[in-house]
Parts: sequence; structure tokens; C-alpha cells
Amino acid sequence: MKYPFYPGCSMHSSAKEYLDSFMAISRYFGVELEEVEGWTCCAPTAMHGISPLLSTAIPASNLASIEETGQDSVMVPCAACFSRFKCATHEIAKSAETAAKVNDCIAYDFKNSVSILHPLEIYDEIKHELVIKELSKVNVVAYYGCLLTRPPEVKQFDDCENPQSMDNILRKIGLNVLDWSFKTDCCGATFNLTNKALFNRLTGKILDEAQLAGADIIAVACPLCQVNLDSYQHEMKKPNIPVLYFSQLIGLAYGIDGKELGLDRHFVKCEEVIEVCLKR
Amino acid sequence: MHTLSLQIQDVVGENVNICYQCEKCTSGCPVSPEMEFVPAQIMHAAQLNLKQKILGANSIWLCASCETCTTRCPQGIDISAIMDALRIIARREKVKAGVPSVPVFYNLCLLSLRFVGCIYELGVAGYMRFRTGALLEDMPVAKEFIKRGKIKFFPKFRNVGRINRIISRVKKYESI
Ligand code: SF4
Ligand code: SF4
Repeated sequence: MKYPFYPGCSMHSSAKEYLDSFMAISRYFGVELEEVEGWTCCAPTAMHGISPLLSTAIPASNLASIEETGQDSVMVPCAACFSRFKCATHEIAKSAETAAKVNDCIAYDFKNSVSILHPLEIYDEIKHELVIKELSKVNVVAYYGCLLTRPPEVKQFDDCENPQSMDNILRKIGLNVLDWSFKTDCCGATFNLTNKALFNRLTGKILDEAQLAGADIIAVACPLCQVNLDSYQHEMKKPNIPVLYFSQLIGLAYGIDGKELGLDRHFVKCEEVIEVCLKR
Repeated sequence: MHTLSLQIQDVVGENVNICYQCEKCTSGCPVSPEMEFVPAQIMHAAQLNLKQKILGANSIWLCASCETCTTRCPQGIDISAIMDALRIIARREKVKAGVPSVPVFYNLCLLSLRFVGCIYELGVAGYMRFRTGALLEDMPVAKEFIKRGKIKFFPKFRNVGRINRIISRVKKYESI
């Protein structure tokens, strides 16, 4: 399998371990990824509060450059980019007027023929038989955040109130997946920069609930969720719960070296926690 | 004169008048405890054309765009898009923001998009910290980010030309 791949800004900076681990498991499973040439930012969150057309045209221009090469899908692991791309294609499909304006803005006759894929959709067929590291004593909760599933008619991804795609993958690689009710609550978004008290309340709530559910680890699929949940636990005086990308957990289960998965880049270290779990 | 509900309709194509105040939006909203007017109240006030009350409230800037309200509204109203519309109208009409740091953040992101072609995290985060007076207080975490290579010191420029061409064309239709 070969896919055009759109990493987005975060995977080249704050979420580099998501990039590294996703690349590592893709190599392992023989999934070829080819970075889209000349990609730009996806015009995230703030931008649709400034100009809806701009926040549609910029993702569309990135999709257009894929369409131009004759390819019909793109792999977008960052939940924020995934969301912008899905929203843009939805807006364009919904309104001929928007489509015409977008075409004018990007100076291209966009056919809207590129489907947006998330890695959780291709790794759902992962095989348990190949697992090397036994992780059944590690309790994990899957945290999806806002952007992957909502709104459902736009994202067409998974159940918006009780998504299962990440849970299923984690279960298949042998982790003990716990149910909890905070899978799709807001992680604090960008309030870290604009309203610290609100940020601490939202982020703190997710961490507390994960702990109450009995989680040793929180699994995520979004760079913003990862940074928010991982980086400030010390400052917020929260119990240290490692926050790992699902791709890092897949890598661990398949025996890929922790360094290659970027485990050392997290604030809350996971290796010791996992060792303690395994001795249970 | 245009009513607020018509202005909203014009910006995002949503109709506030079909809201029947069931308050599902409010009960699922993660930031409603902090809001001066919760989402259902915003909808009601928009129906009553209480424009200055809404545009000056902290609610429109505290909305996290989490889309919970949009997902659950039985009337199929995209409340999250209405929050976008209210931010856009407030920005256009230069209404003093209920949470000043948020529009500053928005403008910084736009600036970064224009000059770098991506969100220059260190610049945006650094300026926001400087502005809220938390720059020094936050140094330890910032240092850790740099040490881990989680934040780049210098931005990587990405196709700035294409972005600016798009921005200048978008301006034909929408003020930015
Ligand atoms: S959920 Fe919809 S109908 Fe109910 S109060 Fe909110 S906007 Fe109105
Ligand atoms: S999108 Fe905004 S208003 Fe709606 S639930 Fe989320 S934070 Fe509340």
C-alpha cells in the first residue's frame, strides 16, 4: 500500500514522536508514505473564526496539489489537519457557491476527488498474532478528543459519542483497554495560551477521570491533545500518567525500539510505568 | 438595518430562529461554567437581536470550537459555526473582546500563516506568554520543550507565496 502523506506543522515540531512512530510502524507493515510536495499549513482552529472561506481554501489548495498528480487519497494523522481537510471537502460538496469561490481563490478547478484518511482507519486490521511484547497487564484508556469524530456527518469516522476505532486497535495489540466516559471531551485546546485557569480545569478533568478509571496510560491520536495532557502534569500537580500516541503503543507491542518511537520526548516517561505494570 | 440573525445567516448560513431552547448545547458545552451567557442563551439573545450583549460577552471567545453543541442540537443548528460568525462580526465591528487574549492569538496565527506559511509555535506561544506576563513563569516548561526538540527555534518556511496569493483572493469575498 502506498499513500500520499500530509504531516502538517505539528508532526514536524511538537509531535515529532507521532511522525517518528507512525513512520516506524508503517515501515514495519510495509505501508509506503510519500510526503505531499509543497504542502502548507492547514489553517487550523483560529482561522475559521477569522474567515470561513480562507479556512476552506487553504486545505483545498493542499488537496488540489494531490489531485493534480492523479492521486485519490491522502493520509492525515494529525487530528487538527484531518478535521480541517474533512470540513473543507464537506463545505465544498455542500455548496456550489463555496466551491466556485474556492476554485477562484486557489486558481484551480478542484474536483473534490481526494479522500481523507486517518491512520486509525488502516490499522484496524492489525493482527494480534504478530505481537511480540506482552502488554495485557497495562491498563489503557483511549482518548479521541474533539476533532476526529465531530461533527459526525462531516467526519464520517466513528461513533461520535462512544468511538471504538482506537479501543479496538489497542485491544488487538494486547493492552487491557478500559471503558470511560471522557473519550471525546475537550482537552483544553489552545486555552493554554489564552486562559490558563480554564485550561487547567479542562485538562485536569481528563487526567483525573483517566486515573479514576484505573488507567496506567492514556492513548491519543492528536498532537494538541498529547501536548496538553502530557506537558503540564507536573505543573498541575497531577499524578504522572504517560500520554502516548496509539502509533507508539503499536510500535511497542511489535518490539520496535523505544528510541525509534520517540518515547524519550515525552514529559511523563512511560518505560518505568510499563515495567511496574508488567510485574503485577 | 440588518438584524444580528440576518448577519449570522450571511456569514455562515445558519438560522438562529429555529432554536427552541432545549439547552442540549449548554449541557454538553465544556466551557459553559465560565461563560457569561451559555450557548442556549446566546441563541435566545440572537433571536432577540441583543447584539451588543452577545458581541461583548466572554462566551464567543471562550468557545473552544469543540463541536459538541453542533453534534447534539436536535434542530440541526451548527452552533459552533454561529460562534465563529459572532467572532467574525465582533472583529469586523471592532467590539471590545470579552477575553482580549483570544483575538490577539487569532491575529498572531494569521500573521504567522502569512509570513511563515505555518504556525510558528515558538513565536506564537512566546508572544502570548509575554503578553499575559507569564513569560518568566513559563520558562522551565519552555526550556523543556526546546530540550526535547518539541519546539523549533527557527521556523520552517512553507510555500508562503501560495498562502498569500490565496489570502489576497479571499479578500475579494471576505474581509480578513
Ligand atoms: S441544542 Fe439547538 S435547539 Fe437546543 S437550545 Fe441549543 S441551539 Fe437551541
Ligand atoms: S463548540 Fe463552543 S459553544 Fe459549542 S459546545 Fe464546544 S465550546 Fe461550547
